[in-house]
Amino acid sequence: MSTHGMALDRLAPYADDALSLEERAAVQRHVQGCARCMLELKRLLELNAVLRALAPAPPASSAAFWLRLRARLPRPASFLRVGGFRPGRRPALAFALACVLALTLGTGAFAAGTSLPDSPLYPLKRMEERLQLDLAFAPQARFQIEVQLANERLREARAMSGLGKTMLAAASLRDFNQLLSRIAPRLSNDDLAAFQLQLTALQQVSNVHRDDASGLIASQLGLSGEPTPSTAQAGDSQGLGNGGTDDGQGNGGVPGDGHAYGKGHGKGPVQKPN
Amino acid sequence: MREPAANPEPFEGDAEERRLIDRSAQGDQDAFRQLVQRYHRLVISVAFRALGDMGRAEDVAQEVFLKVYRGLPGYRHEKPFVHWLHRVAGNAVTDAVRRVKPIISLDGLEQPPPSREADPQDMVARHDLQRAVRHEIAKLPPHYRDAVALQVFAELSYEEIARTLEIPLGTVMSRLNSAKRLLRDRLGPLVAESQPSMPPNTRPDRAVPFHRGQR
Repeated sequence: MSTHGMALDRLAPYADDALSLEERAAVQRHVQGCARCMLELKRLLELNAVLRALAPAPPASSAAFWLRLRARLPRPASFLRVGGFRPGRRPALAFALACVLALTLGTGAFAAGTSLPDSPLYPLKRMEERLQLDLAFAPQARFQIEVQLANERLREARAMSGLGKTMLAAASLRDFNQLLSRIAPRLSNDDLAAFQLQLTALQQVSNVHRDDASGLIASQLGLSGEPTPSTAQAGDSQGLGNGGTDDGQGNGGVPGDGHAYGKGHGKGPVQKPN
Repeated sequence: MREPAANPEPFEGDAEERRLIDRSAQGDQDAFRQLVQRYHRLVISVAFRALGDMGRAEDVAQEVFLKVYRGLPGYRHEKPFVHWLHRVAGNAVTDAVRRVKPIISLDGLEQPPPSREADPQDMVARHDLQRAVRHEIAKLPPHYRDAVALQVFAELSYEEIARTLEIPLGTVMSRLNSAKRLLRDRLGPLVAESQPSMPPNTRPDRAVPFHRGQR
């Protein structure tokens, strides 16, 4: 290969400073005397400047990310098993549920499971969800499903508001608020904060009303300050603010996430994630 | 991630990761949670650079981890997990850039009606340089696109790209060289317009590395 060909083939690595000292010196010697290579190098450096200007990602909570992901992971085999179900007590219901279960699984439960409110499959998905709840007798199992469903409602709200379908977004958010009021007392602070982050993200893409949930989360977190106008508005009006949240809470969330939140109530203001 | 100092959880070595991978492959969601925690930032970074929007970046990152979760049972520890993750992430983000639309639906069922927004020509016409750059990268021929995505979105060095794609270093150089000259041609006047005069530190005689961590 000619010196020119060699240099032309190594201009990008040269611009990226990825060449060995020898190669680098060789390219440099050629480019200094070759107008065409000089121009090409200039163009590549201009391109590099544009590429470097792509903004790095802002901080993000892996706890919130995990909550959402967990809800979408393929279910462990035991999840849908009708274990603990007592057919003797409610045989008719058991039969009906089994039929619906067969129906939903047979007609693409996976498709229904991720469908959005504007999809024809959506009613099927909601039916499947109710079924899951009906089959979950242990409080803990029920709670976990409700957490997943709350995440799902938020995802729907975001997707719908992104598509400009405000009514559907508002409906999903209403359902989210209902779920949240049931599960909030048992959520860890990390989980609550994760929901709050998602609500904030939703606020950024829409003006859908989210104050109820924010206020609820704020009061649940024992917020004494007023971090944002929107969260302050609802305040403690949800009546779930104090008491009864210390049982078995622990810190079930994801550790090491880089965010600090108040633990329990009355321990001062909660540090907001940036 | 190439920021070991900023990593709150320093790696405890391959043995721990191997254990997490094996347990995740058997459906242990808690092990997978720890794996996600380790690599969440890395995948989000790649996705955000490629998409420029946190909502979309998170959606794609979710897809990446779902793919990884489903693929884990077939993972054989023959090469570093992070290389596989980078490849999955690189492919997912360029796919996502190609199907840019107002919001990325993960369902594949209810595609919103094609809008003028999603038209690449339209984006270029709007002189949105960064979107044009991302889109042109995504449209490159696959072997160029992979190398460029790993350099630009994942911020890998030439050596890391070579290891990730399992190709010789010289091949990485040739591919990036051809790919970037092609990219530069396709972006044409857009790039020049964005830079009325060259900043002093980009003068050809003082080339600066594109990759931040590169020597």
